[in-house]
Amino acid sequence: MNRTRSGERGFTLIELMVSATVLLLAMAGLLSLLVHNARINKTQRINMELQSSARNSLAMVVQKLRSAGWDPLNTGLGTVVLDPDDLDADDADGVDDIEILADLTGDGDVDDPNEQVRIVRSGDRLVWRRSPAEPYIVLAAGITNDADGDGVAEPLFTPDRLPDPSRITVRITAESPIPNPTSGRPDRYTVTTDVVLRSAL
Amino acid sequence: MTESRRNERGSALIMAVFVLALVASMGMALLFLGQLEVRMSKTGLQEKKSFFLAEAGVEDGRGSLYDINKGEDFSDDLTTSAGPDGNHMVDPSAIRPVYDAAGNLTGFTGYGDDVPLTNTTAFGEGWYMVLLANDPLEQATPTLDQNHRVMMTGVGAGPDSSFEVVQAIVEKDEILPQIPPATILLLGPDPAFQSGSSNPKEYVGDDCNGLGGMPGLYVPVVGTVDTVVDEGIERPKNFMTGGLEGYDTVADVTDADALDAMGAGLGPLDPSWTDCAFLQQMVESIREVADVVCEPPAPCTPPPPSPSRVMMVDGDYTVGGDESGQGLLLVTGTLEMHGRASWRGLILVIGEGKFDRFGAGNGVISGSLVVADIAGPDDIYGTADDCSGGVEGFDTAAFDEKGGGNGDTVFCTDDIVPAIPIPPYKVVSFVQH
Repeated sequence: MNRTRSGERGFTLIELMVSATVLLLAMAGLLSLLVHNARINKTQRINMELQSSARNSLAMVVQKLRSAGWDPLNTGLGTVVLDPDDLDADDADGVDDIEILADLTGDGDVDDPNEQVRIVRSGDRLVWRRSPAEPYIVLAAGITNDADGDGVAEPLFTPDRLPDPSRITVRITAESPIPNPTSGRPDRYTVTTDVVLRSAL
Repeated sequence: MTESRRNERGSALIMAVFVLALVASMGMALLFLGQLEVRMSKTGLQEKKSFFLAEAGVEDGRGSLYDINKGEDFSDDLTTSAGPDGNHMVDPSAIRPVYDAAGNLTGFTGYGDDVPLTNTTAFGEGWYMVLLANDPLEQATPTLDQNHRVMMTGVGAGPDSSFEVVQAIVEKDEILPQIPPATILLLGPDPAFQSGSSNPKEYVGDDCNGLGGMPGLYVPVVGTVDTVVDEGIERPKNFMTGGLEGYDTVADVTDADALDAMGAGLGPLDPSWTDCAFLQQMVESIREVADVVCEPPAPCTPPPPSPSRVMMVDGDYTVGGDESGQGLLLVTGTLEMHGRASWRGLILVIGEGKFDRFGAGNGVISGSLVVADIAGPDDIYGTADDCSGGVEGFDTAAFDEKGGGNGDTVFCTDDIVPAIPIPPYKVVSFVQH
């Protein structure tokens, strides 16, 4: 019994320190893995939201553009007005501002909601209003439209010809607010489509 | 010792489970977001599919209407589509798809007794149907079309019960202005007209030489615009317009009084013929609808003449000795016709504006001929200086006939009307509901 007890004597200080150090190292490794994992998780979630908001914005813009120029009473309504305020006509920014006209109620004017939709990229936000009487609403944030990362935004709307465009290329680039932990740079996601203005064909 | 070891093992397990749970929960959250995104994308995709199905329906309907209507007014088509009650019941908000137990579409409801222009048709991953109604400007007269516009409602049903309704107002498009009131119309200042030097052919302003056409209609043989007709026009004695010969067979076709005096039934010239930019646009429109577009020196093969032909030659063209053709022929360079060559329909020599006829023969031109030089100072059509020369873009148009023979050049509406191309009906307005 005594022998056995003497054989089961406690750990030495050195043994304890070594085991504590090993445990600490293992925990540190695990923690950094966890932190890294959490960061990737967060980045992916943000990217997913970015992609989602870019795609949703594009879908909404496209849907409005398809009905541009609906003019059942043949009043001579146009389809779209690009850059209506001529705010950035001389900028490298291109056209980031569009007004889409459609007489959806068929009453001969475009004063009702959704009949004079204005879509504007303001800073890194995409905003719109459904009629001149209504306030602007934010459609999406993080829309920098700088796909190549050169600090200059690409145009949101590119017409095939001016005046009276028959098709418009819509290009939306969303940028993540935090850098990707792997690359160290913000992630960018671009969606683009050509919309034929069916009333102008 | 044994107890201690057990304890150590337990804590490692707890930690491992804890870490795993944390990682798993993060993964689950990401997976959930991903799934949500997939679902949203799928819904968006189905919406897109049903939209394009509805639009495909409108395109199908546009083609069908063109085939059955043949360019006439739409009243008979509207009467058919209105159904027994004589009214159109199309209401985009009332139309719904109907599916059977297996999820297949059996049809649509919500359009009363209207008769679809295109019945429910399976296409790709879904179905479409097309309804026809008068355009909103003529809603008060559902089956009477006076403005050549109708409204089509395309209904598309895609996978997973997705559903879209679109509407398009379509219109009959006119490429050519009204028929020019002259056998040979020379647009522009100081027109050059040289008739045959030997036994000259006859130039006739009677509609179809008095055989067919509009009874009593006769037009000037040579039509000019705001020009003193004594200059630049060499008139042979065998010019004929109704009972008139010689001098009176040449007239300013923009002068209503002069035409009245001659009894021309078509009225004065449609002003579009004197608008250079319009003619340029017209040439481009014909290019779009032409059965054949030739660009010399590449060889030019005329298309079959049935039911009619639209042929555009962007350059010089020669109609050879024994050739005959019908339909619309547009030449932007010089058009040469040999003496035995014939053409029934409308010949437009718009561009360089030069028409030459060589050699004797009994070839007949039956229809109308329009010559205009709008090619600008470089005399090449299709360059930047088009429409910048002469008077309001027009230089001297030239008709030159050498030789003679027994053939005629005759104004004939019966040959002109079938030659006028009917372009596809145009969508002038479109909405997605």
